[in-house]
Amino acid sequence: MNADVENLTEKTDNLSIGDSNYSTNWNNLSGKLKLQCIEKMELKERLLLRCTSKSEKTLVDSNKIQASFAEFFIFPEQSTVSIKLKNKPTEHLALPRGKNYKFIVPLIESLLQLVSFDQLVIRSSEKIDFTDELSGGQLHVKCFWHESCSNKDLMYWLNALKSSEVETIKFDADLNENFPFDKLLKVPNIWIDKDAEIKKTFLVQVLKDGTMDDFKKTFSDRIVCNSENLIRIRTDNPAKQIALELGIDEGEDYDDIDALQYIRMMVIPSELQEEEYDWNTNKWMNLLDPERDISYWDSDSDVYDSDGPGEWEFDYDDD
Amino acid sequence: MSVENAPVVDVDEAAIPVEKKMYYRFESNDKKEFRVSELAIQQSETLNRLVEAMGYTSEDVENKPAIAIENIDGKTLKLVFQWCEHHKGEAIPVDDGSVPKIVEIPEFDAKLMDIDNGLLFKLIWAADYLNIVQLLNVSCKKVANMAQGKTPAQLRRVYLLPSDEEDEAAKRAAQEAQDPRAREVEEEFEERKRQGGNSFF
Repeated sequence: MNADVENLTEKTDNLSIGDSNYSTNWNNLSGKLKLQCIEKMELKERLLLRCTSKSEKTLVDSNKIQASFAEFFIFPEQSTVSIKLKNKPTEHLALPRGKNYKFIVPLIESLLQLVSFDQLVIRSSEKIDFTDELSGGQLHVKCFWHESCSNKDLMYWLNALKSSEVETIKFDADLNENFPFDKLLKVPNIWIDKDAEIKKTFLVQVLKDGTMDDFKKTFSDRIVCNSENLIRIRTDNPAKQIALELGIDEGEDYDDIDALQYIRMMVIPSELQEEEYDWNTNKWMNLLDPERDISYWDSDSDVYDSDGPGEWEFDYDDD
Repeated sequence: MSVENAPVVDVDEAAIPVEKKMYYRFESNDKKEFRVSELAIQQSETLNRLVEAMGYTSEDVENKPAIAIENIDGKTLKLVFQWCEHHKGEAIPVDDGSVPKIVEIPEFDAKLMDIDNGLLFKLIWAADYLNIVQLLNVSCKKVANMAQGKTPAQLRRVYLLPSDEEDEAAKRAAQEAQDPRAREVEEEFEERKRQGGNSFF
């Protein structure tokens, strides 16, 4: 079928995407084309471009860069940011020893805006509240591990994670005698309010006795299963429940640290029977506390390459 | 193959190649005419669909006017067709989002894009308009590479980026162009605020 010659120009005109003006500089490019250029920039260039103006910052931040792993190490005497983008080697940025940690906070602020993290590890001094320097905003992280922090920072991260799509949260609070455990008890309520996804997990290692009793007391009207080391509570979604599991380290003598507790909270399918899944207690306890079982790490497993604590192996058919 | 040897023929400058392969004729908005092979055209989803819809025979190509591409000038179109001829027959990348995009700029493309920034941005626009996926990839990568090693101040100069203040001024000018009364109302409001009035109306 031949088209009329007279229609040819019209046909090509109709192909126009609406803007017949040529682009002769960056500002004349459409947002879509700018984003195509930005997604081909390295992390450093994106960080610098977002410093040029508010509009470029908004544009750059709208196109998240993927990192498989990052660690923010913030201490008065030494601060380091390590980040591993997908298919790239790990990059480290360290402040000179003794340099005030506040100099690295703007970089962290930018990374939190710009990067979507598979795994984000934060180790910070209990003596500093470095989150005071952060302006807030949504976190884009699947697995969040906080190894140490001040209580103020802890609350900052808990609040920031409320609205994120995080799958697994791990807090290592065994050295923090003032860990605000009452705040931890609010996590199930947040999940209930948000109808959190199945497998959403919160792991915490804490120096605190009576955890299970506190949990039972707080959620007494929701308990559907209650045993020594496992409590299940119903949510507002009939298909989901929340399990609180207390990890017992049978091979250790805790005479000197008798209140050390390994706790896992997880959203599970309501119909899941206890005998249908493998709780993998040792696995998640080792993820919380790698030093408790050195043999675990003698295997080929690598904590950062493993499936992570959010990938529990349910013996359960989703269908 | 070098840029100079690419088989795109600018009719104003060189003889029309005599080959049995199917060629199409295109005309830029400044009336430059080009002959481009059917295989090269396949790199452009837009042009490929267009010529398929037209169903031209070899005779039609010779007897009917060249296909007009109204939005692109001859200088840019020449680069586009040189690129298409050099890469004809190559697979067109499919972006399924599963793999992070790592774009390498081949030597030919690097030489082809050794041009001023204005022309480079025109090339990006043309590659997008004509839906030439890989040309868009490499030209955007070239623009991305321009940022390497630059400070924010240098980036402003390289990309001719407006400052926040210039951005605001441009927005205000655009608003005023749409509604001249809006600015007057805003100024009146500000004046009343300065005078301590709480209510505008």
